[in-house]
Amino acid sequence: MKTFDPDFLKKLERLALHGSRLVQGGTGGNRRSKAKGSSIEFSDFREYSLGDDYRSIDWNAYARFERLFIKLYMEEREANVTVFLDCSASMGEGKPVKGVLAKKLAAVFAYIALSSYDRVGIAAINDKVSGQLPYFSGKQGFSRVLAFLDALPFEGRTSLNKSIASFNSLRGRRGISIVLSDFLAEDGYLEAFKYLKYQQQDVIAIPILSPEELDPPLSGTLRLLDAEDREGRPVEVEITPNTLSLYKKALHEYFSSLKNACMNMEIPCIQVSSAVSMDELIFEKLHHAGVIR
Amino acid sequence: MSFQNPWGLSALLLLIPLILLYILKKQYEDRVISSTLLWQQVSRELQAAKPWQRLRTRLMLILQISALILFALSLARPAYSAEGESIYYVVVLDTSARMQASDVKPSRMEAAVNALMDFIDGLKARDTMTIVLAGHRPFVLAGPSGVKSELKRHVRQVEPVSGSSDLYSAVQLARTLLQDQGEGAGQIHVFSDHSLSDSVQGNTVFHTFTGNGQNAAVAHLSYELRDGSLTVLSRIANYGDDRDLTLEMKVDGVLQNVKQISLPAGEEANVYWTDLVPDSTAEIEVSILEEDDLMLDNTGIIVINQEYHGKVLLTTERNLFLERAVSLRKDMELFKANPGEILESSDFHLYIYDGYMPENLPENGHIIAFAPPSHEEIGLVVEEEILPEGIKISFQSQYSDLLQYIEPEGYRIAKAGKMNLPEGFTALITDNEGNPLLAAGEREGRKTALFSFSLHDSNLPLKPDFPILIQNLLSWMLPPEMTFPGPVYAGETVPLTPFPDVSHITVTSPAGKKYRFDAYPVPVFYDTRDIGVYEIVQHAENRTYEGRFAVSVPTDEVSDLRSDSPDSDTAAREEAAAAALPFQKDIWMIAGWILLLLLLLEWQVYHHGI
Repeated sequence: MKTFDPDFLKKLERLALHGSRLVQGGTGGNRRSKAKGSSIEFSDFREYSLGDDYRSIDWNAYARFERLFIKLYMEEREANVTVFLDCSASMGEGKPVKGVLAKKLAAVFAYIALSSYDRVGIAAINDKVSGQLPYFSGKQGFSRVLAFLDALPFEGRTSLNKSIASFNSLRGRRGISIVLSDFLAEDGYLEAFKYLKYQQQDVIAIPILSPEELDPPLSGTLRLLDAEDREGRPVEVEITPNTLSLYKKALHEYFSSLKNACMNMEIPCIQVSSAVSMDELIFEKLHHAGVIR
Repeated sequence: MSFQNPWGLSALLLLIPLILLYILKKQYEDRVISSTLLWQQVSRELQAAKPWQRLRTRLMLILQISALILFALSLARPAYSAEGESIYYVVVLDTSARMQASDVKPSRMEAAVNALMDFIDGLKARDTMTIVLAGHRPFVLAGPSGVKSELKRHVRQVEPVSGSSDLYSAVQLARTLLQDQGEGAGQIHVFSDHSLSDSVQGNTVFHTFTGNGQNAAVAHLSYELRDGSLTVLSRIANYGDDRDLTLEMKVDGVLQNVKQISLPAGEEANVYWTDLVPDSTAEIEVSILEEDDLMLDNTGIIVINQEYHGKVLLTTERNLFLERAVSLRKDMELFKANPGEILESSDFHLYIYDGYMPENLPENGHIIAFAPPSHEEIGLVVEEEILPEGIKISFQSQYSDLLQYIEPEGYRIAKAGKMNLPEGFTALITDNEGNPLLAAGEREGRKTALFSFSLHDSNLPLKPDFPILIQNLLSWMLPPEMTFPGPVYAGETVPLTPFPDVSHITVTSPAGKKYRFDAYPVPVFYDTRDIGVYEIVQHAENRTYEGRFAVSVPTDEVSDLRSDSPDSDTAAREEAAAAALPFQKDIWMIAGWILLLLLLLEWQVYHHGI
């Protein structure tokens, strides 16, 4: 499967055109430091703009120039951005396939991060870390990202808790972790979030569901087989309006629970459909959610 | 409650697959989805709600079964009478000869009777029934009665007639009976082999029993007597497919001739039987030997009436009274001649001489003479002329019948001849001195009546007794024969006109059954159900009059068994059935609305679990 078609790459180029402004604006928000630069190497000044942390304002400069400047630090600019990409078999399902959107999003985040001089690493996970792209920086290496993502298969069972906990490359360095998954894991997701928080990560959760999962086009009497465990215990169910209603209720409760958990842990959670267009996703959903500015 | 379309209930058979669908194990279709995580939760919730689910399933099953039952009921078009209201049935049973056809097994009649028996069995407790038989004339066989055994007993005794039936009159009678019954529920049911299109109205239901029978018939028989030879014409009709027929002809029960003919479908053929000897022939029977669906009309019988010899010669100069009195007998041919005139033909059966007698009497023939001269051949001697005084009648003689209804008081006779009667003659009327004025006698088969006076010398012709007296004499000498107008068909009535002196009449049917009727009032013979020759004997005091007539099948009306005959109007029959039961309220619409309501409820349960 060719994940990245020419249209997609063209959109990335367009991102690049607007990317610098966004990235510059974003450094102060997403990667602010609680240590206030005491042990961080000073890098540069930048004029204050709306949304910047006023704690970073250089009041001395204000006294001299009567203009607001904020201080930029090298460490912030070089924060680690880690993309956890769910590559379990369930992500290979759906029309459009959920995993394709996940890969594209991973590429987008990697591109944005590289554009803002961050270090990017990608971890393909199912019930373990099935593949990893080591951290690197520089936009010129973006092709490695594409090659890596394109080669990832969707297989195995989902276990966010196990797989993320087994990812050892964070090493307590502050950074940003983006989790791209359907979050439909039997052992849940809380342990994974806690682990990432423990590793001083700003976590972004993006649950991706296919249209079939949001509104199942099922009918009749079915034996439902799990794509991740076809030999496992199937669910025998007669599809009736009542059954579908129960499913939607369960879906709503499950993802409400996810969002509540994310809210409690200050994790932005943006649920998307695999059928959503990249433009809508990036420029509306992620932008409105404050993930990208 | 009754059903206008009971076949609609066959939709109840759909209950079987419906219940099987619920009983049979569900066949699951495998479907791969990305994750069953949420579906497992749904399954757990469904399991938790299983008791309710079962109840819901049962509820849906019950609703669907109820809907199906209502659907079948709607198709069956249920109707009900008001509660407690009884239905008055008037049943018309056709008994025409056509009902004997065996194209419906065992016969149309038996099939109709069996159906009527079943119909009677289906009567409810308060229902009543009157049975009208449609024969040649309709009449009420039984009822009104609600006793099934009584009704069935009457029906069992019904036998088909050999003639046609007046079904229309029977249905009209049934309608009258129904109207007389007054307000309330009532129906007319007609059991026949055809329906009546013009009676398709109101509450009349036709139950028809008809096949497409093959039949050939002897449609007509007639004869001609001419110049001493007898020729019989038989017309053979084929109401079925093309066929070859073998005909046999019997004379007085003895086989005389056999012929074979080929008749195309629907055609008729005239077959002549010639060279028959008329004098010895009393009846002729023509039969079709091949069997068909109606054997009754395969034989035709005709009675040969010998040519009647009622020729009378009146020899008189002029006697209008006598001429008119004689001519009252329509079955006689009156010839007139002047005294002395010699006629070529001497073949008369009665000679009336008025004041004249030939010297040589004819060889045969009876004689009535007025004021005859002495005659050697008769042995009559007429002496001097007398002037009769008073009138006396002798009722003691063997010829007293000749004076029946005669009251001679007031007779005046100016003059008469004094007759010395020959041997064997009896004076019936005399004057006071015993001189015979009217005498009668019979010698060597010749009957003779002698009036000693001329009618011109008497007031007798002015009396009302005169024509009666002349008729009495004529009847004695030339007894009238019984005639019957045209062919007599089975079921028709035959008037038995008695002769004046007859006291009673007996009729013997072909089956040997005897019927006795008083002569007056004039009887009518009605039991002509048997095909064949009936013998009639009119009994007078001293003599009898005999006659015969044949009863045949009205083939024009009963022999055509084909179901496409005009009366078998299927459409009309169906319309009649549809127009039936006007006293019942059709409630299929109610069942239909309830069905719709149930379907809505079932939809609600299916979609919303309520």
